[in-house]
Amino acid sequence: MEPKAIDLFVERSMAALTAEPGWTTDTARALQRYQAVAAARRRRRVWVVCGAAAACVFVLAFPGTRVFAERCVAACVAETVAVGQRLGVTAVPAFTLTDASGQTVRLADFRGKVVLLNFWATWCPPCKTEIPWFVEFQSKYEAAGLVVLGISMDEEGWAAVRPFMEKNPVNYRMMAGNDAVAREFGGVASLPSTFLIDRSGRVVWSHSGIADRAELDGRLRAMLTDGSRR
Amino acid sequence: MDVESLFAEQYERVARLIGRVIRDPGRAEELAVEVFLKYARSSLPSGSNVEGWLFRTAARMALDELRAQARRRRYEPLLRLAGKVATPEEIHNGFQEQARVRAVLGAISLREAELLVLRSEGVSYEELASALTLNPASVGTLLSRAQQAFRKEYVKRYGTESY
Repeated sequence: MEPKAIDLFVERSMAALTAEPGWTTDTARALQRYQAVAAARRRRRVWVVCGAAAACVFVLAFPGTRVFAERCVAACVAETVAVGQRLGVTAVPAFTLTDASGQTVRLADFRGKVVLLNFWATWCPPCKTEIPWFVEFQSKYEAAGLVVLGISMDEEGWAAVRPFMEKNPVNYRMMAGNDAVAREFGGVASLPSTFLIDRSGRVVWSHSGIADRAELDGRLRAMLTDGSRR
Repeated sequence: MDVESLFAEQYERVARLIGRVIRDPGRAEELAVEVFLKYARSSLPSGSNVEGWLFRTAARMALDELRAQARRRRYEPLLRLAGKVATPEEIHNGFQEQARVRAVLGAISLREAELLVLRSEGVSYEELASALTLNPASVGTLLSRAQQAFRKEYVKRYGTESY
């Protein structure tokens, strides 16, 4: 078929397409319908916003629901971090704290070192079990490039940590932590929590609860050897 | 221009465009109102071709509805077994050609169907290019391809052309 003929055929076909005979549109009634639907949708949006605001107020107003919400958020963040670690796209965490002597400690200061970061508290028995291991790791692997850092999550801060450290001195740097630092590491859902940070500042391993000493030792040796080869 | 003034000016044309494609006047009016609600929610930059936007949206919504009707029609044999009466197309032979054209428009690509519907509404090449964000120089070629696709689908379904 010639292009002109196709053109004519389609034109005729489309011309056959007509609206229902005798149909007349009612613009005034349609405008009323438009205004009613628009108003109903506006009201629905207002209700949705109010509902969301009320839910937020409800969640934040009661300690129980607030703690639950915080745990949910922490779990989501931790899961995101874990997925990121598996995919190798973990964000590099950062913090600035002060140690027992009042000196500023930045995680960025240890770039080039392997960092074992331990969140703990004086009231946590498994944390106290791990501390002698970390003392041992610090002395054994310091020359190979290991830095152990302890962050206490005691709410009383140094008031609780200082007496503990006088009784149980450690050979690594200890800091008083806060929620902002914990958030940098996915919320720290339980204590103790331990993180291994490679020489480029990336979290490469984390563990909630008491760690396996032999496993931790093996991971440290692997990371330190890997680093020395580079 | 505020939505109410635009409504008064363009509603009838928008509704009739949809009515031509889907035939059901009640549904056409519902969809036409929906076009204006969509316009009110949209954030068209100033100086946009509002009329072109309305026609394109109307054509798109009408063709979407036509395709949804075609999907529903696939189940009609089952409904007929359950005692459903024949469609008006089957009763009134005068509607047969319209039903064919609608079926073909529902089968060819959405962009091609849009081009044919808008062109049959008397929309110029320049307006088509603006409404469908096409290069004005390629509208003629695209329209020609759409016509060929229409004819091919028509012949495939119904064997011969009625004209």
